[in-house]
Amino acid sequence: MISNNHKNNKSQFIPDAARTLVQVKDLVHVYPTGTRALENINVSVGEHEKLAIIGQNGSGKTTLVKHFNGLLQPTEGTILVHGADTRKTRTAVLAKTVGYVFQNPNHQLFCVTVAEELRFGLRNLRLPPDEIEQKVKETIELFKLQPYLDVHPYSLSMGARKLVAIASIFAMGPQLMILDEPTTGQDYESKKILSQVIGMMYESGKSIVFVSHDMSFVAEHADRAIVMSRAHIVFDGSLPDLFIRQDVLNEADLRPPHITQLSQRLSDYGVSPRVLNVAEMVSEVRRCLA
Amino acid sequence: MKTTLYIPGNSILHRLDPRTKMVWMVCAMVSVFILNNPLVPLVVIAVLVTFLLVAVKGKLFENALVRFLPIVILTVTITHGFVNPVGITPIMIGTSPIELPYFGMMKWEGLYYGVLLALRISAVFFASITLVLTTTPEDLVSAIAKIGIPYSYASMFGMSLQMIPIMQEEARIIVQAQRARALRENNLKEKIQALVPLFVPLAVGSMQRTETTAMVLEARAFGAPVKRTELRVIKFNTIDYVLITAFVLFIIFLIVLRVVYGDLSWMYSVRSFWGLFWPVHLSR
Amino acid sequence: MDSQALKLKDVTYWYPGTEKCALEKINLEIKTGEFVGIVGANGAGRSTLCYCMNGLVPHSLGGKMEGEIIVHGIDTAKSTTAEIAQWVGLVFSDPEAQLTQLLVADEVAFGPANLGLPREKIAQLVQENLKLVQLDGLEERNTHSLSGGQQQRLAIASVLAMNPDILILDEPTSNLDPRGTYEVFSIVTKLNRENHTTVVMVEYQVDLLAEFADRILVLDHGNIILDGPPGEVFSQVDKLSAVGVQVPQVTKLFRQLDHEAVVHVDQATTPVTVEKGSTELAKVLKKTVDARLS
Ligand SMILES: Nc1ncnc2c1ncn2[C@@H]1O[C@H](COP(=O)(O)OP(=O)(O)OP(=O)(O)O)[C@@H](O)[C@H]1O
Ligand SMILES: Nc1ncnc2c1ncn2[C@@H]1O[C@H](COP(=O)(O)OP(=O)(O)OP(=O)(O)O)[C@@H](O)[C@H]1O
Ligand SMILES: [Mg+2]
Ligand SMILES: [Mg+2]
Repeated sequence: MISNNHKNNKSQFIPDAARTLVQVKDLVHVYPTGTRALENINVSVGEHEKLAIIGQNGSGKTTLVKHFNGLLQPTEGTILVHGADTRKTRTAVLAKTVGYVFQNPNHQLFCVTVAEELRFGLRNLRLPPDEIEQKVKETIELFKLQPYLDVHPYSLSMGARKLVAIASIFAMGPQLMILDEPTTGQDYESKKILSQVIGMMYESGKSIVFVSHDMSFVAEHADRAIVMSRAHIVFDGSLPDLFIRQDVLNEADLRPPHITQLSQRLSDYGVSPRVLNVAEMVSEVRRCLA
Repeated sequence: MKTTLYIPGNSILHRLDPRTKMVWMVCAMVSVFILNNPLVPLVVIAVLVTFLLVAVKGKLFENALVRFLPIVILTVTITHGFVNPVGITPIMIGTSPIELPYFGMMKWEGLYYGVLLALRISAVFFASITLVLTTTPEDLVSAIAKIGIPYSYASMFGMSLQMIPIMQEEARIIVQAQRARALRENNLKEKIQALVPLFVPLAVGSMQRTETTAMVLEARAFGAPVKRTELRVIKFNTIDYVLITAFVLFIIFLIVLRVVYGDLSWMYSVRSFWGLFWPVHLSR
Repeated sequence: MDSQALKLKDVTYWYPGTEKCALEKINLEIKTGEFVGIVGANGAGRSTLCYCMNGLVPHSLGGKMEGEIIVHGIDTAKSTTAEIAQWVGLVFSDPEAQLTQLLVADEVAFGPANLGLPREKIAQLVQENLKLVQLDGLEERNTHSLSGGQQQRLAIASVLAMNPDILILDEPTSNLDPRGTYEVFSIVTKLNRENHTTVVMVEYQVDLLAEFADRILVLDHGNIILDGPPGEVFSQVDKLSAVGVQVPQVTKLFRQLDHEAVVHVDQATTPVTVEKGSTELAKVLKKTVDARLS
C-alpha cells in the first residue's frame, strides 16, 4: 500500500538546530527492579525545534525525557544540557533551562491554590515580585485559568490539573519545555490553548519536546519525530516520512492519523499519502479534481 | 521503587505460616512482661535477630524503622535514668554524680527500669517486624482474615501498612517535582523551608487517595454479598508446630519462675554498668 | 432478563457543597447490547454520569440526587455499589489511582475473588486478561513500577476479568499507544457483539467512536444535548464546536469540502469513518479520472 508517487517529497529532513540544547550519548537506563528501559540511546535536541517522542506503551519515552533535567540519572552514558553534564549539575539549576511537565499531574502539583502553583517556580528563580505577578498574569490569561485561581489544584479535574501543571512550567520561561502526554483528558478548547502555547514558545525561538500518543496532535504540531520501541530509538525524521514507513509503524504500535489513513487509501487516484491534517487534505482533493 | 516493607527471600521465616509469626509476636510481647528481668528480653531479641539476619541479612539495617530504634532506646533509657521516681542511688563517676539542670541526678534504679523498658520495646519491635519484613502484604491480609477478623478490616490493615512506603515514594516524587521547578536546597534553612510545601500535598494526597480507593474497591465488588474466594492457601507445617510449641513452653517456664521465685528483679542492687544486664552481686 | 440495561429518569445531581448541579434532569435509556459513546467538554458531567450507573452516585460521593436510576433491574437507591458491581464494571479515568494491589497478577484477581469465583477459574482469568492487554510476563511486577499506559492496560484487564454485563469505561485510552487504543475498541466491540455486553464509553477519540459505537451522547453542562447514531450526531459540526466537542477528521474534511463547494455532501449523510469517507471520495475522484481518460 505504500506507493512510490509522493510528488511533494520534501528535501532530506534537517533539524533546525543552530546549537545543540540537549545531547544524549550512549544512554542506558536500568531501573532498580532490573528493567532495562533504555538501551544505547543517542539523540540530540536542537534549539528552536518542535520534537515529538512517540512509540508504544512501556517503550521508555518517559524514562528518556526524565533524563533531560536530571530527574533520572543514566546507568551508562552521558547527557549534556547546553554542554553541562546532568550528573554534575543539580536539577534545580537545570530547571532554569529545561522545564518538565510530568505525565501524571498529581505528581507535580503541591501548592494550596492554583495561583500559588504558578508563583512557586518564579519565586525560586528569585525574580522581583512585580515581575512575578506580571508573568503570573500573562500565564493565567493564556491558559484561561481565571476561574480557578483560588481553588486547590486537587479539586480540579484531571484535564484542568494537567493544564495548571503545564502553566506552572510555562511561566518559568524555560529554553526547552518537555510535555509528557499533554493532551490526555484535554477537550477541544484546552487543546487549542496547548496549540497556542506551543506556537508561542516556538515563535520566540524556544524548543518543545512532547511525548504523545495523539497522532493527529503530533502531526499538527511536530516538525520532527523520534519513535521508540522496546527501549530503542527506531526512527528519527519528519512525520510525512514516518507515516509511510509501515515497518516502523508496526514495530512501534503506531497508526497514522485518520486523515492520513484516508489519504493513503486514495493514493491510487493521485492523492499524496503524506497528508498531515484536514486543511492539507482539502487542498489535495482540490488539486486532484482540478 | 519500593512500595512495601516486605523483603523478598526464601528463609525459614519466609516459609513460616504468617499465623505462626503472629503467635510469636504475641508470645514475645507477653514473655518480656512476666518477669522484671532484662535477661528475658535479651534472649528474645537474640533469637529474633538471629532468625532475621538469616532471613534478610544486612537489609535489616536498611529499614527506616530499624535505624530509628537506637534513638528510641537511648531516649527511653536516659529519660528514665533521670526522672523515674523509683531512682534512689545516684550514679557516681569518681566522686561526682551525673547531673542535669532541672532534671536532677541520674539514678541506678531509674536506669535499670529504663534499660528494662527499652529492651522490652525492642523485643516487641523485632517480633513485629519479623512478621512485616518476611510476609508479603497479601499473605498477611489472608492470615489476618483467616484468624477470624473480617476481610475488610484485614485488608484495611494491609493497606495502612503499605501506606508508609507509598507515602515515602510520594514524598520522593514531590521533592523531584519541586526541584524540577528550581527549588534550591543549598543550606539547612532552605532544606527546612522545602519541607513545608511537602507536607500539605502529602496529607491532601493521602486523603484523596483514601477516598478514591474506597470507590474503586466498591466498584470491583469488594464487599458484595457473596463469599470471597481466598486466593492464597496458607497452612501449618511441622516447623510451625515446633516453633509455636517452643515459644509456648518458654512462656510456661517463665510463669513457673515467676510463681516460684517472684519477679527476679535486681533493681535495687545495681551499682555498675554491667550490673544492669547481669546480677553481678549474686554471682560473686 | 429484559432488554433494558439501564434507565435514568429525571436525574439531577449536586455534589456535596455545590449549588450548581453536575447533571440536570437526565432522561436516558440504554438497551442491552448497545455500544454507547459519551462525548463532551471537560467538566460536562461525563464521569458523573458514569458514577450514576453503578451507584457511586449518590452512595459513595454523597451530595443530593433527585430522580430514579435502574441498572440491570436494580434500583440503585436501594442497593450498594458493591452489589451492583457484580454485573456492572467501571474503569475509572485515572490509571494510577485505581490500582489497589501491590502485584500485577493480584490486581486482576481482586475483582473475580470478590465475586467468589473458584481459585482455578481466577488463575485462568488472570492469565487470559493480562494477555489480552499485552501485560503477560509482568505478573509479578509491582503495579507502581509500570509505565502510565501499562497501568491503564492493567486497570482495563482488572475490570474485564469480572466479565460484567454492563461495561462502563471512563476515558480508558487516554494513555494508550495508537494500537493499544484501537485494540481496546476492538476488544469491547467483540464483547459487545459476541456476549451482548452493554458498553458505555467516555472518549475523546471521536474518530474511533465514530467507527465502533452504535450511539453517541453529547453532554454539555450536565445536559444531554444530542443523542443518536454517530453519523447523525457527528455531522452536526457547528453544534458540536459550540459545546467544545471535536468532530472526526473525516467528517470535518467533508463538511469543509462541502463548504468550499469542492464536493457536495448532504449534512445527514456526511461520512464519519475512514472506510465510508474513502469510498465516497473514491467515487468522486474516479469520475474525474475517467472523464480525463475519455
Ligand atoms: N519506577 C520504575 N521502576 C521500575 N520499572 C519502571 C519504572 N518506571 C517505568 N518502568 C518500566 O520501564 C519501562 C519504560 O517505562 P516508561 O515509563 O519510560 O515508558 P513509556 O514509553 O513512557 O510508556 P507509556 O506510553 O505507557 O507512558 C517499562 O517497561 C516500565 O514498566
Ligand atoms: N467531587 C466533586 N465535588 C464537587 N464538584 C465536582 C466533583 N467532581 C466533579 N465536580 C463538578 O461536577 C461537574 C462535572 O464533573 P465531571 O467530573 O463529571 O466532568 P467530566 O465531564 O468527567 O470532565 P473531566 O473528566 O474533564 O473532569 C464539573 O463541573 C465538576 O467541577
Ligand atoms: Mg510515559
Ligand atoms: Mg471525567
